[in-house]
Amino acid sequence: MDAKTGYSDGVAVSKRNSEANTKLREKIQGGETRKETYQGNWQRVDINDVVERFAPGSSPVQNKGKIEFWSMDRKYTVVADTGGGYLRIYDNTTNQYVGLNGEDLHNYTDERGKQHGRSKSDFRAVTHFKIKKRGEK
Amino acid sequence: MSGFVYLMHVPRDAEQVRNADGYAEEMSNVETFELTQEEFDYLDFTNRMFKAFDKEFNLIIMECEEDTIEAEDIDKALDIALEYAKKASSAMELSAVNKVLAALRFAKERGTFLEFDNPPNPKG
Repeated sequence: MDAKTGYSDGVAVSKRNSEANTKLREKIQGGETRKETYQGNWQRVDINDVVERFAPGSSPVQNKGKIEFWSMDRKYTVVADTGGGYLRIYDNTTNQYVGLNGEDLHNYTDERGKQHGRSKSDFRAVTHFKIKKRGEK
Repeated sequence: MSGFVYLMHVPRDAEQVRNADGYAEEMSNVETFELTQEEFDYLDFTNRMFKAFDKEFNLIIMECEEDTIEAEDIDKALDIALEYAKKASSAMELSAVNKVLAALRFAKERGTFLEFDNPPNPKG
């Protein structure tokens, strides 16, 4: 089973369970709201590629409104939201959300080669990734 | 009860925040207040204080996300927290609301903000 299937199955289970679980329903709605509010700034990714890179061979773990993929050494967690269809990559050794290459995204380098700190909102935008639908380019 | 914690960070130095070059520098000198999972769940779902913050300040306080009550909203957040704190009765509930009140009072004293930071549960 690939990560996309694990994620999609997990979303279906969460949505089914949320019919009788108000708390879970609120978590799912929270993810949907976050996506609706911010997704315009999010890069689109294939969840299979991300999980293969950071947590290869992992199984999805349901955790409230999230589905998590943990690397074998516990260094990385790929956290996928069930309501919002997005994911984040967390480095458990630095306690930071990171980019698609595991890089720290707090700073960026401008066209003149000068380094700057990213604002709070920019950092949050670049550490959220919209999950592509299967077959989406 | 789980020992897992949810974090509330408050910068100690408003001047440092004003002069910061970006988010990392803003958060480089903070006081951290920790909520257990049980306390977080109480404030989020039972007490509804966090839902009141969400509604008032356009936040979505939840796991694996960061959200901020900005400095200009701290007084209003304290008013809300004091109102919802009246619902607390058990030791756990009182502990939960008192931690939020302590974090907000510290932010008010320092002239800074409160950031919720809820990382993945390390127990997986």
